[in-house]
Amino acid sequence: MVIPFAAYQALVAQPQSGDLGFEQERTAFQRLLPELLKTHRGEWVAIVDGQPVEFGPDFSSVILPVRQRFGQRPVYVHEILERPRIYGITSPRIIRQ
Amino acid sequence: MRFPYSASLNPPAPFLPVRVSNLTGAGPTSVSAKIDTGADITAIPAYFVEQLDLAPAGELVVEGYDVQRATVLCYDIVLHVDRLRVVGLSVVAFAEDYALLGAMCSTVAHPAQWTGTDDRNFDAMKRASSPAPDLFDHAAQAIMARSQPLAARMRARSLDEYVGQEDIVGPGRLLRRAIESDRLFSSILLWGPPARARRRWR
Repeated sequence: MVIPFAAYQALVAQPQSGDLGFEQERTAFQRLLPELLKTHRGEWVAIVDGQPVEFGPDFSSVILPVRQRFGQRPVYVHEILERPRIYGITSPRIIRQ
Repeated sequence: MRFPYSASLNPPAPFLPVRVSNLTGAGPTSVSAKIDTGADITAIPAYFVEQLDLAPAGELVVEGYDVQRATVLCYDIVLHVDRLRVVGLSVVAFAEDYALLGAMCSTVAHPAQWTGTDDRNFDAMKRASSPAPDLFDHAAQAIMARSQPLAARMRARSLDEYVGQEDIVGPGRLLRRAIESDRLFSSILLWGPPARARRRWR
């Protein structure tokens, strides 16, 4: 399932974390995305201090070395795609008895 | 491992106890987790973020019955299930007091992420998730492929493997043309009685 790229841009433009550092990493990803699509399409990237510092085939292969180098600080790990993958949480509504 | 369905929910759902920690080993904190292979992602109670000092690790677009499509922060955790654990799992936080184990828990890209050790050494964690494949990884992947549910193994991988619904996915028909020309609509409403494989189109 895909959504229009413009809609995605509108979604990610909404600051959510309240963390200035995280917002800067997100902004850097958006800025770098066109170039990353040319060189690392389909891979995952970690952005730290505005720069890509790690690439890998999946989230965990990227986040582990990043946490090792930078510790528990906000980083921005994302899949390099024109349109973001959409993750479903399709669990039926649960009623507590 | 065998755990009974929890009758405290309607409909009853399979739950099992898990522990969650961050990648430095802080925690782990125990929580009851609902197994939901229909969910693409794992979710943890929102209060875990502060409790485990989790730092944002990115964002994901999620949607579901109870969740309108939204971009939410994601975090990286270590998930402990009995003596096994998966390291560097991406999760989102939600407003429940239980965790939700989505399909990605059982289909993590690298089977070696599941490890039986219980040390908290970070180097060991990294080795456990090394992306370099070897013969044993291949065997593990083959075992995982064989142990997938029948529905997953038999699921159509392409339009040509899809059986039925020729009036909409047959050659030259609307949905096939839209897919083949990469001009899918932003959303499609599929209606019908249960067991018509609507979700396979996701």
